[in-house]
Amino acid sequence: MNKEEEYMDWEKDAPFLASLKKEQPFKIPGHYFEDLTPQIISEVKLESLKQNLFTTPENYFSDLKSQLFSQIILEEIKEDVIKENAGFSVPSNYFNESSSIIQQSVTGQNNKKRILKLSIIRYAAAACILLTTSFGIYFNIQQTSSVSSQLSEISNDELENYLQQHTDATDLSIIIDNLEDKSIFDIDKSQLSSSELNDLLELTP
Amino acid sequence: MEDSLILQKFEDEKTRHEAFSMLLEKYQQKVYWHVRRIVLNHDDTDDIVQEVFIKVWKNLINFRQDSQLYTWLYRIATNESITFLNKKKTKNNISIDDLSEQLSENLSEENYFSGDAIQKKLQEAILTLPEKQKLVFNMKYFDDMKFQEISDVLGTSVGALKASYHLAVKKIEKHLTSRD
Repeated sequence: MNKEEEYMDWEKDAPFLASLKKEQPFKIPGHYFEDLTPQIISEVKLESLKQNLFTTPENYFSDLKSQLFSQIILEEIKEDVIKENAGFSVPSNYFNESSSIIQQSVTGQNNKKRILKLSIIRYAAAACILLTTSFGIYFNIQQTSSVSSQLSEISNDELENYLQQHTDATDLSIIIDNLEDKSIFDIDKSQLSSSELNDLLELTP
Repeated sequence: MEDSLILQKFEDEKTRHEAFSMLLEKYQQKVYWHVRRIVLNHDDTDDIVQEVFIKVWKNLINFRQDSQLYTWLYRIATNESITFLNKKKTKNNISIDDLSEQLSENLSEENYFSGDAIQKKLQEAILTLPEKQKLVFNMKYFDDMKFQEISDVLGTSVGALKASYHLAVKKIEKHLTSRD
């Protein structure tokens, strides 16, 4: 060691200081250094736990700034829109009058008018249904009576001829069904001609 | 235990805690006494030493080995001690002189100081020195550190450190030989 380089001559400048015995004058609690190592290791472990306790998604902090700015801009736009009533307008004094309108509705003044309006509509609907039904019945009766009247105008001979010409084997079942009508058998057979009797016998099973 | 072995073990996550225990065993007393000579009070020293080693744990992985491990430890310890004293000064709203007076009260406490009257007078003389001179004197006189090592700790040129030490020695000699 170079004596000059390390200023070893200081002892000449301070002979009293140089004569003092270099000793540690400070006291420490008993076993302090024995306990210090485990104490520091515990502190370090706690510190490590603190650091690793929570994790953040990848690139969280790098993206956070831009996300925050976007959020701020959105909030500003929202505020502007609210200030300008979102582009919609209302009639003048709407909000001043709206409270009285609502109160009137609650007290029922408007309800009466509404109930009346509703009743008129109901009665009109009922009348329409009644009229439609009546017309239907009327025309039905008319049609039925007109068929009967038209038939009454046809003579018995014409009817007989029509029936003779247009009766076929398929009508036999209808005739059989009508045999129960005993009035048919109440015909005075003595008044029938022999050809009529033959025809009747042919038809009767 | 070589510093290089401690650092090598610390790089491996499996042996990191073991390496740190080795580092503590080797340097905790040196760091403690370095801090204790600056702040004098044991309890404050204890807090600072723990803070120092927590910082060491966090940053040792980034240690570049372009300086010696123990000068790096001393640098952290010195910075933490000065930060602590500055905080104390600000918190209590007191001047440097008042702070020195407060620190010197620690020398009167029997639980913390066992030195004789001359030792007490030496510590009081050190307290009168400006901060940089105090640090240089402590590291040179008590720890026998080389000026280059002290330069690594304080970031001051060797020449400036020699001048500081020379001034400090003269002031202390004067204080010790005075009749007060």
